[in-house]
Amino acid sequence: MPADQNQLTQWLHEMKQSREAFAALYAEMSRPMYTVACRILHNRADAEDAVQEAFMKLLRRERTDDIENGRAYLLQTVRNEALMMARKRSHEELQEDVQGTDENDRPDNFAWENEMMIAEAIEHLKPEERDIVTLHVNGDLTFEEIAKIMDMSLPAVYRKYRKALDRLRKMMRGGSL
Amino acid sequence: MKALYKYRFVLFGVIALFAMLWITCGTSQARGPVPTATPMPTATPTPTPEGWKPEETYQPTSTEKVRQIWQSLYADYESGYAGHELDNWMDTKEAILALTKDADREAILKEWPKDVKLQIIDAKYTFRELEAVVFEIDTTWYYAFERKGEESIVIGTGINVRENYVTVCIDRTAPTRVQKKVISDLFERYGDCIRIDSSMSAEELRELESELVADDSYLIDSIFSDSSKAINKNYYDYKPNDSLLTFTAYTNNRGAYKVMSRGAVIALAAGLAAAILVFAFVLRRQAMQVRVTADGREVAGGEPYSDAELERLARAAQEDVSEEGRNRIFAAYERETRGN
Repeated sequence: MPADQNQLTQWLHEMKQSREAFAALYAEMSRPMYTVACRILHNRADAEDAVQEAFMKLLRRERTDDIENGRAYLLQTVRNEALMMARKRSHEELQEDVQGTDENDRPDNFAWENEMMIAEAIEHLKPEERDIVTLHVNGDLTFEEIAKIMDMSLPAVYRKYRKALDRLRKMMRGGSL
Repeated sequence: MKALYKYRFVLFGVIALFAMLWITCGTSQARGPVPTATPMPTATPTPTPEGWKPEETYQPTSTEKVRQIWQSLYADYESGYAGHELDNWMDTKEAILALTKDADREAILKEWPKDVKLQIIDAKYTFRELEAVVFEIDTTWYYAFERKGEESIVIGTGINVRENYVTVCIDRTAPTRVQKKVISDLFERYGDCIRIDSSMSAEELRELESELVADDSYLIDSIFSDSSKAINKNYYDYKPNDSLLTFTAYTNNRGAYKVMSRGAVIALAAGLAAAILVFAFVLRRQAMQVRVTADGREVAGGEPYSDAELERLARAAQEDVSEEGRNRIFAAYERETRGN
């Protein structure tokens, strides 16, 4: 159950002064932030770097009281960070990392076959669709918040989300990607 | 039901195919030739006796003879035929035949059935000439105005066989000045071939008559003025291509249309039923899949890999930062906040 929006923003405002607030914020947001970064970078280490950098940028901000939606802000920051890191890497490196992810970096808790399948299916979505699905499902953002983050219209976000779900369903039913 | 839904398009296609086949077969059967029966075995024919002649069994009835006579007269432009009236179309006992001086009356009387009473009327104009006048007045005065979206004051024409003229009905509500002008034009062109059915008083008509030409043959009949409605009705019966005749022409073919329309109705019903079936399944599927929550997001359940199931799987498949990564982030936090 995701934490209350106000509670999360409160932790964000207090994280500089309180380690407990930072720990609570980390516990709440590390998984979705890491998932967002991972699905962009296809590399666990780089994704962790992106998460760390996102938190550090937040800490380096002089003021945090102007942030109204802490969840959306953190997910947007980590997404921007991941995109920036992805741009720095060459295409060849990206391909190697994708293969590396498939071979070695898959976590052990992916026991259930369906979860493995959907993780791979998400990888096969278009980048925009993948981001929307991740932000909505893993980040618990509403379509309006996603529209703001991705600079898209609300209907476009919703349409792409529906399309992504249909493609996921097709891939899952087909049993192959 | 699930299999039915899965193959809904195939089902719909089969129904549509059967409907099309039915229509095609039905229509072709209605229009096509009558199928020939298998020939039955025949007996050996008996030789015809010498000098034997078949006895003529068919004799046209008097009514048929009368009909044949006036039809042949009408078909011949030189016959002098000027119209006819029958007391009864199905069983004629009395007939009136209008003939011009050019008609061969002896030949007609020779053919005429003895049991049908015939009254011959001397006529000046042939029926073809009267028809030509009717056609010209209709096209010049009636349809021409109708095409232009204007109302002509000539509202009808009709042939009077007994009196051998064309009745022209004039709109009695039109201004008298206009009526006079039109009547003047009509008489100038058609002379005593026409008579006017007008609402003008007998005095006015006489005045108009004297204004036009001092000729008794130019008859203006005011008698019809009192029964103009009846005259108008007759006009519509006479008028070619009117709605009554058009309707009759269509009803002659009603057999083929009936088959086609019945087929179309069945096809439409089948299509409608298939559409309702598909629609019901779609609704059922949507009802199973989608439930809109208070915050506007959609959740679903029921079918495997529904929206809700996909979201659940995607949520479960998310990864977490490793322990090493977590320590690195918290160490960075310590470094960043140490200065504060």
